[in-house]
Amino acid sequence: MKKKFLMWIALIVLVATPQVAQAMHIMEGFLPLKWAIVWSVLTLPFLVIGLKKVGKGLREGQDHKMMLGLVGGFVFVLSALKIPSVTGSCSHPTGVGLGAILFGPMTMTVIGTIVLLFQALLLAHGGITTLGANAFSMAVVGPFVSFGIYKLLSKGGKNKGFTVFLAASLGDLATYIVTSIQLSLAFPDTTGGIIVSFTKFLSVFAVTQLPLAIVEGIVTVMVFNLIQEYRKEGVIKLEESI
Amino acid sequence: MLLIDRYAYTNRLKDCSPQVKILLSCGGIAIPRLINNYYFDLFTIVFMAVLVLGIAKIPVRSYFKMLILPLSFLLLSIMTIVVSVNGYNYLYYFQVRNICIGITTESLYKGARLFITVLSSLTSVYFLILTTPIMDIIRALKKLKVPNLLIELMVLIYRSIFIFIEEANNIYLAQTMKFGYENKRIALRSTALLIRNLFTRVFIKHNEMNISLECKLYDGEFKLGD
Repeated sequence: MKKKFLMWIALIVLVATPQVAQAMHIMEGFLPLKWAIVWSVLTLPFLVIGLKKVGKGLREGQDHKMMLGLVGGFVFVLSALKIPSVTGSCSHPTGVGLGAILFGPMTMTVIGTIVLLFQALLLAHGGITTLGANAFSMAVVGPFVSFGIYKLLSKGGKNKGFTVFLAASLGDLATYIVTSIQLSLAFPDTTGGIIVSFTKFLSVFAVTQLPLAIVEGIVTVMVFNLIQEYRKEGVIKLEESI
Repeated sequence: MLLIDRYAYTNRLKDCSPQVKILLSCGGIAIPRLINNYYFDLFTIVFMAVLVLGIAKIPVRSYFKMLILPLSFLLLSIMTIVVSVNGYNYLYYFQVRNICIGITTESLYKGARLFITVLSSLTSVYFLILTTPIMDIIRALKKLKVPNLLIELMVLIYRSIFIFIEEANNIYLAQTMKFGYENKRIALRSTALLIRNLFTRVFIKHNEMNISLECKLYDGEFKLGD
């Protein structure tokens, strides 16, 4: 009986893992109403500050609106791309780390929230009621961690590639940890409480997301280096644009 | 290009008032949670499925394919909730040293309950996204006094999504024809090149759009036309 049970678990994990890796957003209707509201309220101030910052730039005559619109489309397409993952399946980059390094965390909060909304509406990834929770993990915590690590390590004059790798993959991991916290707060273990359910969610996500974070880090470094090359040749002017 | 978007513009309910559709799907999410009744959840699921399949005439096969997509996330998450550590009244369990891992009646009931409720919310949202074009949703948001800047950004992002999807598809096709995705190492490199190219396209498009907007006497505000 025990063996059969174990085998079923292994089978379900094997079947479900590749798909979960595709959409790390909390799905529609999964969070109880109370928690959906709590996370939305927590996200709101970041969104308002980000919007104010964008609006301020507009009044001062620098028109970033068009640029932000294009970057939003870019991030959306990035999240719909397939990249080969270590586990053998294909996974999707979040693009959060790259965006935060290039455009700053506040801008990414505004763009990320809108992109998450479009992912819910166009791809059925994530959801409308869980938008607040997903935005908090992917558009607030992820970019801030990535940007913080990038700023902190670039001051020390360390290897640039390694810095970008750490920023992207740790930003990814921070997103998953926050998602696990969100899920465990909403669904505490029937006997062990929040801590036990947090370990459960975290261990499930660690299996699927750790390789993904590493792959995302590698791809981000490659893209970053290629962009640097272009910048040296003067094809694009990054500082002027944002 | 995006299946859901295509159905949103071609289904039989697309000319229905978007406010009614939004209210209906919001009700489908909120009411089952407030009433907390098995049968009402099941009723919502059937009701929404009938609306989508019977009246909006979305093909049955693609509807179920779309439903299966998030189902794997749901199954794994519910597995995590159902499996309980060191509980009482185990139905099945196994022991690792002195830690019991297994399923209790209580957690099983909790998981099943959650499954049905989530499914009712999911079908409600699918009803909205499969029958309502995005522009209608954005217009409804505008009536709800969402800040103008956010609305403008949404319209711009919505437009640029399709520009970049087309370009990404073209680049991907060209790379595939040159064996760019033969093995994993090359595929990673190709993906990085693709992203880099898309990124430079952002700047090129930005320049082009600025020029075209200046020709149209752009004064810092987009008119949505309603």
